Amino acid sequence: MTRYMIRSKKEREFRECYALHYPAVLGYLVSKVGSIDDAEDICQEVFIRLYGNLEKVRDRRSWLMTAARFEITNYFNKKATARSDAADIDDHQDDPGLAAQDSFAENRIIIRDVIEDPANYEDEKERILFDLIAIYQFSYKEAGRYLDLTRWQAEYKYRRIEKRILARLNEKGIKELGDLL
Amino acid sequence: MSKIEKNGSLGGLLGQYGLDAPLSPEIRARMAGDYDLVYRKISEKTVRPALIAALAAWIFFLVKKAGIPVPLAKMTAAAAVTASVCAGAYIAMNAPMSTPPAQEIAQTVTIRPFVSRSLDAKAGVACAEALRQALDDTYGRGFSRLASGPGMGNSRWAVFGAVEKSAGSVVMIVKIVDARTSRTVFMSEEKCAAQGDCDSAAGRVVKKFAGWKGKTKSPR
Repeated sequence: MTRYMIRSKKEREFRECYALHYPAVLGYLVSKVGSIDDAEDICQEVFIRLYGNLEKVRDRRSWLMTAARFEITNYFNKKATARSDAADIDDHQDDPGLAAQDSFAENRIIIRDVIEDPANYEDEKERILFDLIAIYQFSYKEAGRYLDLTRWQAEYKYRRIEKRILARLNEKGIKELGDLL
Repeated sequence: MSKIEKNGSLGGLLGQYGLDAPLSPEIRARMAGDYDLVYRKISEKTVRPALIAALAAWIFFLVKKAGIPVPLAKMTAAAAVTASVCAGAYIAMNAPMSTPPAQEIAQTVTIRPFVSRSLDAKAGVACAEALRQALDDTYGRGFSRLASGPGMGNSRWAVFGAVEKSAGSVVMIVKIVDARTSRTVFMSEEKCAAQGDCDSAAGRVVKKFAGWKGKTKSPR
């Protein structure tokens, strides 16, 4: 009976975790792999791994993203193809040419640091909302549907995150977004 | 296109710095449609072992309850045989009919046209071509190729570079990335007197590359 309760609790927790992280994990995989079918297969593997480690994992978002990266490497190793399309964009963008040209690479690092700063997000849901809207360009309605928010709640929350990020950029000496664009 | 992109503020900034990864509306619609399907597949895979164990236990106790005189040892042996047969059948059904052969590496190096802000696109292509020629001269024809599309073929290394005008000379910067791990394995910077002199700079880069390659394991 106790085992059953533990199991059902684990499943409930897993379901909640899946609901929260599915769009961001799959979005990341599609952007790297290029094929939605392959991305879905990898997504399954990632979540199956999570299920096996659910009790041990604390920061689930980071864990899932690391597992996704690992599975992507496996995928390309299996396919024996180069990682051209899926290669980390960071490597392309931190290209020596681009770095040499101007402060592009430097600005990019600042922006990435600010975006990754957990202080900008009140909870995991906000972080995922930001990823979905700003990075994967979901509409407020689409993002809200995954996160149990109305379109207006999603927009309101996103605007707040955006304000915090802009304030952080401001602290780093970037007064106007136009300076970076 | 999402509203934020239209508004152009933070979304536009991420796009400008290559920090976004926009998904097309079709992909987003497919993701939403497959939400339940993916979850069902995950559930099937995670629950299956527990389900099989529960079923086995249920059958065992049912047989016991029915009073059929089957000793535990016989029951265990029968279960082991059944499990082996089922596992064999499962593996046979799921094994691919024929494993596709590993693709041969066609060219070891794929060179992307060099980027440039101070010179035109032709200069970038000319530098990439000069480097390709120098690599092929050193390692044999077919060692390298110029990228014709977004892909890298099956190349082991990807070459990215830039060529810029700088105080009366031209600077060529070359970065070689391991295409499978995305790690930068080699970097070099060469100056040449004029834009048309990039052949000699490419030759010097290849010499340095040869030095590095000699110290490392390489597919060729």
